[in-house]
This record gives sequence, C-alpha cells and structure tokens, in this order.
Amino acid sequence: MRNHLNNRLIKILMALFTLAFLPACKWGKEKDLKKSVVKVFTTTQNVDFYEPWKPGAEAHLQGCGTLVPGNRVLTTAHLVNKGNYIEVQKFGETKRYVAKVEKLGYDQDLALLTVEDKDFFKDAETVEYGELPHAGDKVKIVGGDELSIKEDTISGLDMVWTWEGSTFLPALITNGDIDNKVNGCPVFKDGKFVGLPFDSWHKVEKTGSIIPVNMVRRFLRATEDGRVYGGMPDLGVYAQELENPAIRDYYGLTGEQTGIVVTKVLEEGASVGLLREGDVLTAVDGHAIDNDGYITLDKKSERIQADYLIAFYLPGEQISLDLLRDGKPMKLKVPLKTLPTLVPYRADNRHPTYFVYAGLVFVPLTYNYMQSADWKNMKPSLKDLYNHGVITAERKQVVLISHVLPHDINTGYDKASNLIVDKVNGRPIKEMKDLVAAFAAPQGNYQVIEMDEHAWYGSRIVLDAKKAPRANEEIMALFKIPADRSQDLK
Amino acid sequence: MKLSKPRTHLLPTYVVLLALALCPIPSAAQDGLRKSVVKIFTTMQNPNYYEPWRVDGQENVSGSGCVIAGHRILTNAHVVSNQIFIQVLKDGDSRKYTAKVEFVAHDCDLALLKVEDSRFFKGTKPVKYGTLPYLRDNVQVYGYPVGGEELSITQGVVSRIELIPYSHSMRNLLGVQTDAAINPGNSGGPVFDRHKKLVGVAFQGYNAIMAQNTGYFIPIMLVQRFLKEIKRGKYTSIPTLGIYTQYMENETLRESFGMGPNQTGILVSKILYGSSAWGTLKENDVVLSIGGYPIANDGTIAFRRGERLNFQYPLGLRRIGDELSMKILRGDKTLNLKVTLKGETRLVPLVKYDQNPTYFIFGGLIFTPFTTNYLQTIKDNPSELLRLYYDGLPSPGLKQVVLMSHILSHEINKGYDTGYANLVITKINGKPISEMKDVIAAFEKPVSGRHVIEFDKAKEVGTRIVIDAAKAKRATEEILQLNNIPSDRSADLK
Repeated sequence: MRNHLNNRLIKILMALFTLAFLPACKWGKEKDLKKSVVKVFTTTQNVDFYEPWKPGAEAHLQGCGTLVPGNRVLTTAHLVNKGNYIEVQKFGETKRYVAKVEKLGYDQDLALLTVEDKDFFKDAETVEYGELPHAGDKVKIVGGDELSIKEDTISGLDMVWTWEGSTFLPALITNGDIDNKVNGCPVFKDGKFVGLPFDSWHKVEKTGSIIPVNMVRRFLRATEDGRVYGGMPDLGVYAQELENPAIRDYYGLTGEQTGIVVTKVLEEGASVGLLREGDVLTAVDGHAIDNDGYITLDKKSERIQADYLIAFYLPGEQISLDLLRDGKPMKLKVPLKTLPTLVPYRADNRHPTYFVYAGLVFVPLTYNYMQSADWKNMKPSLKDLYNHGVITAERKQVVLISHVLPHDINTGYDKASNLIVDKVNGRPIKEMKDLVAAFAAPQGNYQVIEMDEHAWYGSRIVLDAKKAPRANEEIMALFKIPADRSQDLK
Repeated sequence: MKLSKPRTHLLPTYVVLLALALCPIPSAAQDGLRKSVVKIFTTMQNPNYYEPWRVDGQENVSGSGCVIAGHRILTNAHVVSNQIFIQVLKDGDSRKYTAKVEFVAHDCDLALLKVEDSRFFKGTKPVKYGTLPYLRDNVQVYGYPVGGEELSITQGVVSRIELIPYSHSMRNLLGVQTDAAINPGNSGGPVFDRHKKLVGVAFQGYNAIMAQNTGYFIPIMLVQRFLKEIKRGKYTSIPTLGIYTQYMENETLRESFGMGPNQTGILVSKILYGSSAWGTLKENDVVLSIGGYPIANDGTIAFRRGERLNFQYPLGLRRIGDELSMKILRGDKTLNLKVTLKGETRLVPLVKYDQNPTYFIFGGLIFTPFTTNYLQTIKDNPSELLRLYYDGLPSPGLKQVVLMSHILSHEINKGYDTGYANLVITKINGKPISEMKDVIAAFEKPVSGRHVIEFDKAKEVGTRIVIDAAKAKRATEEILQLNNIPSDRSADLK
C-alpha cells in the first residue's frame, strides 16, 4: 500500500515537472505554428437532386484552415464550396468571425477565404511557404478537433483521385493514416508550410494524402490578378502502357525508345485535331515518358505519372510533347483545356438542372443525382455511363426521365424511372436545353418521348399535347413545385 | 446469389431459398401419402467459370421428392444439378439407394430420377395427379426440410397464383404461393390437395427478411408438361418469344397507335435477333391477342374465372417448334400471325447447369464466353459487363460476348498487368470475334509475326494486347504445364 502511494506520488511529481519545463525548452517554435491554424465552420444546405425543386435540410460542417500570406485562410474546397455561411475561429479562442469565399478551385480542392474583421488577424501568424518535401522527410500536421501536432513521414509523391473521383491530382502521401478532421490544416516541414491534408482515394490504403505546396502555388497563380479560376487542364486522350516487347514493336518503338500509345482522342478535349490514335507519346515537357507512363523528376529521381506535369498548367497554356507518328519522331505543342465529362460530379452544384413536363421529371445524369437517387439500386447502364461515357457530337448530357409524378395524364407511365431519353417529338435530345424546344413542337396532338436504351421497359411515352399544359399546372400545385424548370433553362 | 439488383424480371435475385426453421405439423392420418415421399441426398461438383479447367470442391445437399408411376422419382432440378452422386431414402426406411438422373428440366426446375435396384420401390405408392387448386384451397407440403431428420408435413392455403421468377433458371413461369411452410430441404417435395392428389412440387421460398409465410410450388400443369415432354425421350425447354413489350394503360398512347376504345393490347418495343418473334413481329406492333387469349392493356390475359395471368403464361405450356397464333395491329391493319417458337436468344445466356464451361487459353490469355455463370463467379462486377448482361442485344455480328477473362503470367505476356481482365474482345488479328470458335480460327493467322487482340477499355488499360507469334505456341505449352492445366481448350472446342 505504501509502495503504491509512493509510486503515484512520484508519477504526479514527474508530471508536474514535465509540465513546468516543457514550455520553456521545447514549445517555442511550435507555438508559432499553432497560430496559423484556424477552425472553419460552414452552414450549408443539402441539395436533393432527385427532387431538385425542394430546398434541402440544413447541414453543418466543421474543418480546418491555414492562415496564408495576404491575410487569407486557405482550406479545402469541399469544406466551403456549398457554404451559405462560413465562420472561422483561431485555436484557443472562442470568438468566431464571418468569412467569405474569395477564390475557389473546386477540382483542386482548394479555397481561399477572406475575413473582413481585421481583429481576426491580431496575434495570428501567416505561414511561410516551403519547398516540396521528398520521400522520407518528416512533417508535422498541426490542428484537428483539439489542437494537436502529429508527426508523420512522407512516403512519396503520387497522383491520386479526389474522393469523388473527378480529378487526378498530385499529392504527397504519408506513411500514417490522416484523420479527415485535419483536412485543410497546415502541414509543416522545418517550420515552413508544405501542404494541407485532403480526402482522396489513396486513403483506402491506410495512408494520408496532402495537397502539396506547389499545387497551392498553382492555385494562387490560377487566381492571381483577378483571374477567374479556370479548372484543371487535361490532355484529353486515353493512353496505354507499352511494357510488352511485342506491343512496343507493334507501335514502332525501337531499341531504347520508350513511351505510351494514344488509344483514344476525346471529343471536346485539348488534343482534337492534334493527336491521333496510335501516336506514341515519348516525352512531356522534355521529360522522357517510360513505357509505364511514368516520368522521372529531376530531384532525387522520383518517378510519377506523366499527368503530374500537366497538373501545373493553366487552361490555355501550351504543353510540349514529343511523339512518334507512324514511326517518325515529331514535336507538338498542345494548348491545354479542361475536359467536360458526360456524367459530371460537382459538389458545389446548388441549383440542379431539371424540367418537369406533365409529371415527367427530366434531369441530366450526374453523380450527384445518382447519389440522391440511391446509387446502389442505380441501373448498371447508368453506372457504366458514369464510368465510361464520353461526350460526343450526339450526346453532351445524358437526359433522364428520373421519375414520374402521377396524374391522370401520365397513367400507365408511372413506373418510368431512370430512362434515357433519345428523342422528343422526333428531335434528338443532346442535352437538357433541347427538351424545352422539343416540347414546344408537338407532333399533332401528341407529345412523343422516345427511349431506346432500356427497351425492356418500353420504348415510348405518348402524352396528350392539348391536356398537358393544364395537367402541368395541376401537378405543380399538387406536388408544390415552384417552377416547372430550373433557372438555367429559363 | 451474387448479383444484387432486384430490378428486372430477368434477374429474380430477391427470391431465394429461405432459411427459416418452422415446426412441421405431423398428421397420423396421412399414412398413404407418406409412402410416396422420399428424401434425396446429392453430392454436387460445381464447375469453376473463372478457372474453367478445374472444378470447385464437392458439396452435399439434401432435398425431397415423390414417387410417380413407372418407378420414378420426381424432384427439383436444383436438388440434383451438377450432381456426381445421388442417393434416395424412403420414409420409414434406413437404407439409402443409389439413384440416377433420367431427365432434367432446368427451366421449370424439375427432374426425374430412376433407381436401378427395384427393391427400393417396394411399399411405395405412386402419387395421383390433381388439378391446379384455387385461392384459399388447403394444401399440404411433404418433405424433409432443415430442422430435423424425419418427414415433415406442413399445411396452408393457396395464397396467390401468378408468373414468378424461378430462381434456379431465372425464367418467369407460373408459380403458386402458399402460406404452408416451405424451407430448404423441402425442395422437390410433393404438394397435395385435400383429395390427396399431387398439385405441385415445392421449390422455393421468399427472402425471410422481406416476407414471411410465402413458399412457392411448381403447379401441376408444368409437372405434367414435363412428364409429357420426356415421353418423347428428350426434354425440350420452354420457349421464349424474344420480345420486349410495353403495356398500354395510357389512353393517349393507345390512341396514337390508332387503337379503338374497345381494343386492348401491348406494344412491341424490341425484338431480339434470332428469337421466335424475329422476322414475324415488328417493333411498334401492338399485340392484341396471344394463343387466342385477348391481351389487356396491362399485359394480362384471362385465366380461370376472375383470375388473370401475364400474357406470357401460354408459352410455359408450349414446346419449341410449336406455332403460336398472335393477333396484332400494325399501322392501321389487323393481322393474324403465326410465330414459330424458339428457345432463349439472350446475348448473355441465363444460368446453366450440368455443363462444363467453354474456354480457350493462348499465350496465357484465357478466353471464355460471357455468361451468367461467369458473372456470378467473378468477384467484382465491372459496370460494362453488367450493362451487357442487362441491356446487351444479340445481332448478326455478335452471337456471344467473348471475354479475355484474365492472364496467366508468363514472359510472353509481361507488361499486361492485373488490369487486363474481363476484356470484351472485338477483334483478333483483324478478324471480328462473334463467338468462341472465331477466337481459335483467328489465332491461326498472326499478322506480321504478332498476335493482336483488340478490345475497348481505353480509359482503364488500353485497346490492344500484342504478343509475339513465334514464341506463343511454346509459351502456351509452358503455361499449361506450369499451372497444371490439362488442355488449352474445353472439350466442346476440340
């Protein structure tokens, strides 16, 4: 018993001792780091893409931000892109300040906030931008629910998909798992800011991903001098690795030549008219492309996918390519642009496009819609369009009859759901806005909607054109729909 | 079952054999019927569609059956599918006898067994055939469900009669629903009416989470059709029409097709290439009647007094080669047509049993047709394959989907990593691939010393696999040896 007590006493004494001496000897530098961390509170409204006219429920998000030079708060776009109301709070303080989104790079997952009240910046310290860390470097992640400092080791630089899979971004990968509570918090190396954690698919493998400081610089460059953020550029091609000797031979690579072959040039992409199927890309920006699609960066010979080089360009800027066409070497400059996707995902989309006609609800197929309408039970063909669909001259959007609001006029069609619309009154429907014009031109007494994709449901819906306007009004009153179409279709 | 989208009538995954243990209701007065009931023990060996040269481990299942005239045992096809050894045990006996499958009808889930040793049938009593009961009629289910060893007898009433998805075959056929307990092990057991006559064969239940007291039995008409068919010495499967239809409950839709106020029918929205309807029916025909039954706008036909069934019901009693009369409205003309009935023409065939998978291995690349069995075997379900499964249509240039399933690693195919899997093959050495035998023929003629295999998976991996033709034959032999694969192709391709 006595012994026990003694032990406890010793422990308590030791703890006191530590508490007393630690701040004096070790706290100095890290205290500064903490002064550049802020909490970010967002009040937002969920959007229901299934019934897009309905205001969604209020939602609250909490995350982290970093004070950067110019008295701005840098954070992840996902935290604030839908924010109706944003507040920031310094760690260790209780007062919240109203913040506004100044710049948003949605597909880079970065946002810059301003705070009007200058008091906020009292005592605050902005970070100093550092250099890109290398594999093996130790970094400190500062922040989180309670202000914590976590040490981690960089395992390398890699390309990762953002969590909704819409962009392929350079990221620093950490050895340890990163809690998503620290997304947006600063990561330091030797006291300098080197990036901020964000959500990516890399997380699946129990590692963390960090937006590297050079991508932050890209974002700042993309928005400097009042420039409107223009998105992440894309070469607009699909390419295949050439690791097998027979396939290298087939595509005309000889000896030590390396590269990847263009297998598809995407319509509406940057390379239309410049690159061709079968071209072998041998270098990007002077960096030789290996047969597996990787390039070697100058420093410490780190290897990464060639997409890495493209990520730092802004739309409109040219990238230089070396290629083999029909076995002959040539050089090209491709002006980069963003690549629109057939089935997009935009978390910041707060006003979904819709059109209601005679109780038929038309929406464009988006990933947001698929989430709202229950992804698990989504038809495989629609999932496949999300996975593999590309924009063509015939189809810029996948226009769906999402569901039917039942009324006399649409009796017998009430089970229609998630049907791809091909034509309305004989006019091809390439995108949502085509619907408006097509319904204005009925075929005699009929409004004829044709769907071919899912023939097992049926191929056409025919509505009484004369009764439709009246039915529209009744349906909108009954289902409390304020407008028959979204603002963008007016 | 792997596929988890209870979505179309094609894939009735939500109807599964249920796993509820329910108390049997013993009845001493039923001694006569007990003599017709047998328990069936089956050892199954299921083929492996992913590694088609080998078979999966053995599996033991048990089911029920009944003795019919001519010393035969009637049971479910799914009780004896993929069997390698069957034993039967009659009620009150302790000796098991070896049985053999004489006929099997996977589409309507029925099978007929014979027992060589005639002593087995001593003391048994063949069942007498009844007729389809009506709703609320009492029925008794005999069999050997889970929860005990001895004969179980449960009773209930007929609660519904309609076309339902048969989970064994994924076909939509007439089924009778009852609230008498039907549990795993009951499969194949007889269902009797109050006159002690056979009115059906118990075969499936409903997922216990979604519904309770819903068991299903195969109605007597399908049993009799099966027995009639096999009298010819060979079972011929139930035909399909091969059309997609749309119901015409909407008045404006009917009007737009020129239908009068008293005309009813359904719209033909798609006709499968090579099917019964191909060449006879046309898209946008309105089918007014089938086999003499007028079709209502909701796709039903009148059955017995006050009962309606889906218009496909008459097909369930027909055979391939039969002619089926149809009255249709095409434009403003009413036509009487005859359709010669054929079997299934799906691009991706429905699930098959008692067959060995088709495959061909070349340079470590495994080629196999895309089938429902294959889809059920692979772990992930790529969306492009699911899309083909649900919406894929056969055409003159596409009889089946040929897949490059995956690759057995070897020097010759290095660089084609694990992403090169489940590829839908379009061409080999410039030759279009419409079915498996095209693959073998195409590899006979390499182009400029190389084999070029084409597919479209540009987003994930690419569009071509190219391998060295001079080394390919030798490499194939090495790969077969290394992986203990007895042959580079399935028996049906030899």
